[in-house]
Amino acid sequence: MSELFIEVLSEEIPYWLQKNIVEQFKTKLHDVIIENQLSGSETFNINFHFTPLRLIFFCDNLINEQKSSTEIIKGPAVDAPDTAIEGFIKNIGISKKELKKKDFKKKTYYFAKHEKIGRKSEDIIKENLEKIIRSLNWQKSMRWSHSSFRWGRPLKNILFYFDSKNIPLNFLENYSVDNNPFTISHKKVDKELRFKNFNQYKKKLLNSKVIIEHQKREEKIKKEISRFCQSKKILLKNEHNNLISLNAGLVEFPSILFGKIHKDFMSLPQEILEAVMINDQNFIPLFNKNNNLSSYFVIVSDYIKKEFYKKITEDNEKVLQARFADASFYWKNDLKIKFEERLSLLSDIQFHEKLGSFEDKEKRIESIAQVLVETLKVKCNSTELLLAAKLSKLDLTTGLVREFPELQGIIGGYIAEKQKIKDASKNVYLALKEQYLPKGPLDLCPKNDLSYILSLSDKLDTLLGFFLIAEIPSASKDPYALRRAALGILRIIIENNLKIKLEPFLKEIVHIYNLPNISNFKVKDLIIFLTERFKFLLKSITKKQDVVNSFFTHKTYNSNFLILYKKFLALNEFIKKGKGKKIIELNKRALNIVTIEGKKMHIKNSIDTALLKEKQEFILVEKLNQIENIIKFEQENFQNILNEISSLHLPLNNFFDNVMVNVNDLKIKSNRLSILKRVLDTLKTYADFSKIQK
Amino acid sequence: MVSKKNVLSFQDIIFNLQSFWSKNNCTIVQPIDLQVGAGTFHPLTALGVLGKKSRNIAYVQPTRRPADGRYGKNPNRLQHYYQFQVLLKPTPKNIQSIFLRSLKAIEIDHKKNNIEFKEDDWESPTLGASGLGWEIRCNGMEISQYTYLQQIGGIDCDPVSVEITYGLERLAMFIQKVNNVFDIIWNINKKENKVIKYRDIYLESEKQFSKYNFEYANTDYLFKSFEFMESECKDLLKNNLPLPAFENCIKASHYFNILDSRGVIGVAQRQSYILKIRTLVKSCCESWIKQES
Repeated sequence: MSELFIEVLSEEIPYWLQKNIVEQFKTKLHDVIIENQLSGSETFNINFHFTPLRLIFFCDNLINEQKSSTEIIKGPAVDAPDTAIEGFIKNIGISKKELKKKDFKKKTYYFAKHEKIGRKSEDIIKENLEKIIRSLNWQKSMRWSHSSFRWGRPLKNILFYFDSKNIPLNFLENYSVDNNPFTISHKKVDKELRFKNFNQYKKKLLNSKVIIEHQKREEKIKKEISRFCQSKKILLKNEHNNLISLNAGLVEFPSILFGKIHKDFMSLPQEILEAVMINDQNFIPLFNKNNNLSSYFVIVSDYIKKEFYKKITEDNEKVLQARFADASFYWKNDLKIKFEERLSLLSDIQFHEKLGSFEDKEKRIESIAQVLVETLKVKCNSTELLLAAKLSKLDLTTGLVREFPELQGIIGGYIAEKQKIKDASKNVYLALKEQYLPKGPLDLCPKNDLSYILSLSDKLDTLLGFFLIAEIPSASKDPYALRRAALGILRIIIENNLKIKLEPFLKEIVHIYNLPNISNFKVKDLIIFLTERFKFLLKSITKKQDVVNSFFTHKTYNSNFLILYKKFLALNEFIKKGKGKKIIELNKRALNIVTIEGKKMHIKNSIDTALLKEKQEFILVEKLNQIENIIKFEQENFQNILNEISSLHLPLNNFFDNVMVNVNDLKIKSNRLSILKRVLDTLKTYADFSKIQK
Repeated sequence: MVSKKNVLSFQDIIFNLQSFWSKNNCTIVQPIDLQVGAGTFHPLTALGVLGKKSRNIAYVQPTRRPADGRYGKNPNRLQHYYQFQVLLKPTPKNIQSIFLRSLKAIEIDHKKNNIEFKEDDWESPTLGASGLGWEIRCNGMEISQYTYLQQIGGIDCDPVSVEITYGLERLAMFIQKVNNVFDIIWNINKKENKVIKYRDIYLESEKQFSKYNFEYANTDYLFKSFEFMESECKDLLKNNLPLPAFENCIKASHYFNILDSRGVIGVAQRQSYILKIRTLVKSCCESWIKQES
């Protein structure tokens, strides 16, 4: 078997682009190999790795050359016009003498023997590499030098090895990209590395401080953190695993250093310290056993000799201290002004040209929150709710939030708490801190009544507002992060078990926007947008696109997302079980018959009971009636409905075993097809089971 | 503190960078004699990146950001400071390694420090410019900005230039290990055994200009001047004089910055001023490129 190995070397590619691009490249390379039949075994797979500088592809079970093959191709009839015969010869590339005559269906035709000569795998891959690098879809890319060619950052070199041999890629000249037969070590080692094959490449790189596997870089970081944590009796939080991945994606060989926060700053709110460390410096915070921030943090540096650890740690600590000093300055300053007094400043901060200032937004949040409380019938202290809404945006006027925008909400909560606002309780402070949650998929949803009502009101206002002024996200642009707002709304609804029909609710609150042309607005468009986000959410929860597809048929329109969610979960559980699988099977069988026969004759929607003959027919129709009734009455008990649906199994199976559909009497045949159609329709009221893969 | 005798002074840093880039194919030019918010505004960069002619230049550019003044009280902030700017068009192939060597010329050895290329795509709303690149950090501190300029005045750069901007005060603080910008050693006069610090040269100026920028600048005059520069710029463009037109743009932009620091420009108004400047820059770029080609 032949070995293929490619290294694509660039200047530092941002982490968020790396994985996507390496996977695209791999898929395209995979397709080239499959389309050209270059794979030497059935379980063919391309291994790939990436570092900030390198994309690496490796595969060791390719064939060296395509198989040659001979085919006999039928040409025109012997008495066909000369032009047709000449065209045929030209196409295949042989002379007329080489044609053979042969009879075929009572006529004589020319036949040609066409030999397809297998080409060398390396040539085919080489030719396709140019296409691949031109066709990658970068989320963000650039030009450099003279070229109009785009890449994430300047592309430096491509190495292509086949069977331990370097294959030159001449096309790279046109892109001002090198085609050196060697690679470079870690920048700090600063060597050119030559090698014979992939294994040697990997070893030599490791010796010169490049770990090509992202996962191994992550493991190295985790291992050293864990050792440190044990010695200091502190912890790494799971939620910071992303931060470790990010750090592993920024270096070729992680050197792990541990810094310490100066004790003067430990009295600042913990979130401020965390935000500065994480967002500004990618430092990883560590925690005490009681979940409070410890004074230690992790610095991941690209490879550095041990003798320099101390100085680099100190330098990093110094940078952090300067940032903390900034934050501390703002914190003290912000506390000097009474929080409520900031209310007058809100009108100066614009939310959106057409949607007014943050003062306007805050007033709308108040109104929406009140309607929400009534609709959801939650017991919520209305003084506290109005207070929380009123205070919610005040921290936008603070220096801290201007400096650390990601801390909005949290800062407000802290200031309010510190200044002990009149009538405010712990719930109010918490609601202020949690009002933007969930921001991303990893965030928890607020659970406290006051918190989720505030968060929901704010998000609904944003979403509805932008839809009302027709600022709707496009495929590539979502400047106001409405998708995120929609996901937040859906998660709050399902995770807090909130029964709410959003369509009538939104209709009720539309009037609070002081906007022209509100009557033209279709709430339905917004529900459809939410439904799309809902599908995305369900897919990310279950990882099953097919089940999501089966669940959303063109009829699925409901603005009560909690109900939809429960219905979906029931389905997802159901199909994992034996009875679910049986229903999928039977649905498929019925669908096959109805599809095939439906092409030949019209199938009526109604069943003519007068035409029922066999016992099994009566039983099945009776069962169908029963199920339809249950679906009507048990609207929300989805497990029950699915149990009923699965009880179709026995009568349907008996029907298939004992009743002949394809009978000569067309009326009876048609009626039996109508029964099957009704089975399909009944199942479809729940989901399109034919879309579920096993 | 590093021993004073051997420390690389602020002026040494400038000398070393100039001599390094001079040896690396650059013409050392002088700053633009106007108040600018960034080295990129220098016409040799702002207009020079457009068109086909190759260009390799380096210069020190005094830079003004009125709103960043802190009356000389903040150890890290100044309303007037220095950038060392390098512009290379087209981008040389091995530019990253040249850049790392330039750091060594000012005693920052990338083998002994953690030099990080942190994604930082640059955009200037007033210049209508954008580029992709990195913020260069040394042991966590930002010391330089490295950008492949893609567009300026809304026009695609072809060929593409690379712009490297060193924040000289930051570099000096790092190299000299001082925590306060005013403690930077500007020069060591060995004959008289005298140390001249940043404080001695600029502290008073920071105090006075902070007062001017935040309290005393005559806003009526500035608003009117802005309008005047705007119309002057347009007139000059009608007469195909993009270079003087662009200087008027630069002035307008500075007046806007002072107005902003005086706190008299609202959010919506701010956008409209930025747009005005961008429109002027765009017209200058278009006029300039017409003459170039």
